[in-house]
Amino acid sequence: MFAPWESNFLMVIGKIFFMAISVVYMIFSFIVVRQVGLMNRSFTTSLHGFFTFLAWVHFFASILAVVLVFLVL
Amino acid sequence: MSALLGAFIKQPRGVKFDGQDTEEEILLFMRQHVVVNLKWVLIAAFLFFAIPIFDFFLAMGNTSLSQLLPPSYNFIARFLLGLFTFGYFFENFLSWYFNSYIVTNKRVVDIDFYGLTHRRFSEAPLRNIEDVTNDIYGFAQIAFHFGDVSIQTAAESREITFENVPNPDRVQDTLSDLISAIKGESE
Repeated sequence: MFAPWESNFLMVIGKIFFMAISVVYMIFSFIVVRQVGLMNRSFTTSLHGFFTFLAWVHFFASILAVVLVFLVL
Repeated sequence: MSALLGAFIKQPRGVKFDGQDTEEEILLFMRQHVVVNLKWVLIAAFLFFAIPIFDFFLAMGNTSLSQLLPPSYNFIARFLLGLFTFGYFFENFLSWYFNSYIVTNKRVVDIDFYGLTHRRFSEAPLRNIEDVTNDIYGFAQIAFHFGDVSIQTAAESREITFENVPNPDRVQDTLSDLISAIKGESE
């Protein structure tokens, strides 16, 4: 059976790919945190704390993804 | 819950917007009709089930993702896809939730967010409004009764448009009554 990961070249390409997208995604998730702050200032409802919490959880999950990519792969 | 997630709310409780005066009262709070979210909800659902679907098709060829990728890559791919799916859902939901149209006893306010980095806050005092038009066009708009409300002001500022709001005829009627009352008082 063809197993692409047995090729070292493909492994390196895959590793660089995952590293790049995880770092870009971490930046995106940080912008989402800032955006939620701006949105919450535009108008306030009782859900604003929940959105802030979700945005920070999302950001920390994206940091975890970067750490995992660099440690595990 | 409807006061938090609804698209057409009269005199909402606990809602305050940037720049609201202390004696200013929100009479009508609107978002785009929930139907406009269908496209991104379907895409998010597809992303959520993408790996099981992919696994299903691979299984038809007597293989699987865990056979094609080493366990560490398999785990990272699933984790990242889960994160992207959540991010995509969250970002689109926030765009819908915070793009809002507000009618107060003093003015109309249009708060728009475009993507991650662009916010536009437009407002027009009720006394400056010259003309209000509602447009219902298209199959979905007719079926679910939503459309655009265009507000033309006397000032040189651009026209304010409430896009895809539910009950555009009621919005127009409410605005017309408010404008008549305000202009009647000042005459």
